[in-house]
Amino acid sequence: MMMHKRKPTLSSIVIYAALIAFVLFCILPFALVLSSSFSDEEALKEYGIGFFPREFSLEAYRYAFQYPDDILNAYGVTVFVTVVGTVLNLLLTVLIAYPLSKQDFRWRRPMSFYLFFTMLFNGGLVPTYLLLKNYLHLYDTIWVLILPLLIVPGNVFIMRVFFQGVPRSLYESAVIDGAGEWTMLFRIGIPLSKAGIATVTFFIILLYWNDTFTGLLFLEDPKLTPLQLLLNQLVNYVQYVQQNAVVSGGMISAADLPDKSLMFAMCVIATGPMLFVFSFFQKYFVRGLTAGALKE
Amino acid sequence: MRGRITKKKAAAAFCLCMFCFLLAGCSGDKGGVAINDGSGNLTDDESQPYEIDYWIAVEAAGIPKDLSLVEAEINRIVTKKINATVKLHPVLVGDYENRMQLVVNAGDKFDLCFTSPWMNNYAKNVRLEGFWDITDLLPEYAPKTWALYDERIWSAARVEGRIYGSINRQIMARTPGVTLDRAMYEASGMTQEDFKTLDGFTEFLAYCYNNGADRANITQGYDPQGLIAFFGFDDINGASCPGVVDVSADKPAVINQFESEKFRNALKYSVDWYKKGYIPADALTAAFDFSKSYGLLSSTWKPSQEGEDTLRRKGRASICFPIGPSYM
Repeated sequence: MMMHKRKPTLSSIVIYAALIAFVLFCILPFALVLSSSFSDEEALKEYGIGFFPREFSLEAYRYAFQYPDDILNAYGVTVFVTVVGTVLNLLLTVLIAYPLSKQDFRWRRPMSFYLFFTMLFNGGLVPTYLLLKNYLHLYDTIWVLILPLLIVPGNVFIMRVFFQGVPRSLYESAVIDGAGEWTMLFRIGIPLSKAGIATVTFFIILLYWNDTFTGLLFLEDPKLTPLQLLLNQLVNYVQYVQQNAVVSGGMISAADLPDKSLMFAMCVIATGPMLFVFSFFQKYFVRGLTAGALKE
Repeated sequence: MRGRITKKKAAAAFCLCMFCFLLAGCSGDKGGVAINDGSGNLTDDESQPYEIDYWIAVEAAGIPKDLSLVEAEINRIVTKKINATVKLHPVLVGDYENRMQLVVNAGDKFDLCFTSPWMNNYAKNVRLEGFWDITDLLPEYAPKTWALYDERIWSAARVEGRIYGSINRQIMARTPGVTLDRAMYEASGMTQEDFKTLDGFTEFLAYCYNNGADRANITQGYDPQGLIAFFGFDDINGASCPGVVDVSADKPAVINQFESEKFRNALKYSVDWYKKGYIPADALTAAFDFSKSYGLLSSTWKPSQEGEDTLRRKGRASICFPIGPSYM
């Protein structure tokens, strides 16, 4: 039987055009950032940013990597924090979400409310600082980058929805075969919720990878500086020199420091690895995005 | 019925929480576990060195790796002299303000930090009770430091008559001066006397503009921290905040510098320089290259200025001289 090729309708053309425009809106800014990171600073000031550098220059990357040990150390810290933090965070998220997904769990409602409440209110910056420093003694340790971010209530609710999507009959038949709760979780719940786990894992990876604030407040040891904080400090330093060149009375001329091109180079260095991670999680990501809207 | 009871319990729990928050907010306690009450100057066991927590601002892109060597050397001297050790808490200068705000607001214990009107504001921290009153402690425990400065200088650190910080040794007298490109200065045929007024400085800028100077880097105009040097205005809460002490007057008085005639006249010169192109059009966003500059106004002229500025200008010969009286 011959397949007739359907002619594109006006509405499909409009829809595709809109989607292509949206894709370009997402991709083109990053292309601009990439191009600007390889541009000469003076050319950037004179001609602005463009899709191709007017004058090619690696000065921004040279400045960022002038102390390669620092960058490598920061990458190491960030990778360690991200890997360990993701594993622990995911484990706890799954362990909390699974019982919350069970209809026969008695404390389902109060626990859900307790989690939800923390999304609305928290103690504030000063109590958090005091708690982490004086009571938990996490100040200036690598665990301060991991432990405070271990539970994200939003991720718990996303996982809960995925676990709720597993047919109850599967659990019931597992119980009949003598399975306990741990077996049901790891042999039935988790394998059937891969999309949710991948989505939540990606969110957690992004959370740990992009975290600057925690290090800013709770770290002093330069060996514990994560990547985002290091890059943030570089950019802040350049801006400080430019704003306070007279006050500081230093020998550094602000014009010698790459400013805009350095910021773009920081973006590329910081987000580059995430591009590879995202491509790995992509097929699960779309399904996971709409998870919060679904309920059995 | 069951749903209504649950809602009632939830409402009651919520009201209880709000009441607790209200009580916490009414508390007179400064909060925090360790309050900087100054009582920990000596440990009970005087054979154990006391650890001094010192928050320092590091002017660099990263914390120096050999800071521990500096700390060890400090402790080698300090332990011998006053049976104390210093624990340095380095914070990059760009983050220093935020970090110290958090430390002070949290009531966290510390012993020393850098403070000034322009960073980690001194008066603000005094208001927040972040600094300890050392007015009576200074003459008793630091008599040499106390004797080092005149009462007029100590009065700069007084807030409502009390002192909360010890003054560090820095340039105190501010002298207005100029740093000029030597080659351009000699070619212009002008003399140092010509620069006693801003008209002379303007004439020099015009000469640079019309005789091959790099127009993007002729001058930056006024140093915003130079109120004291150029006008005799000692700022109280930062150069941009209205309210300065006019020490040039016969009787020092607090005035609003933005309403002062001589300040407004100086601003007119700045506008004139900008309009004529001596200050580049993109001055607010572009980075000024000192090494390529021709005429700079300085608020801290000092005898070594020429050598320093020649170095800053990457070896291009400079000539520096004062253009007005010094103020302190």
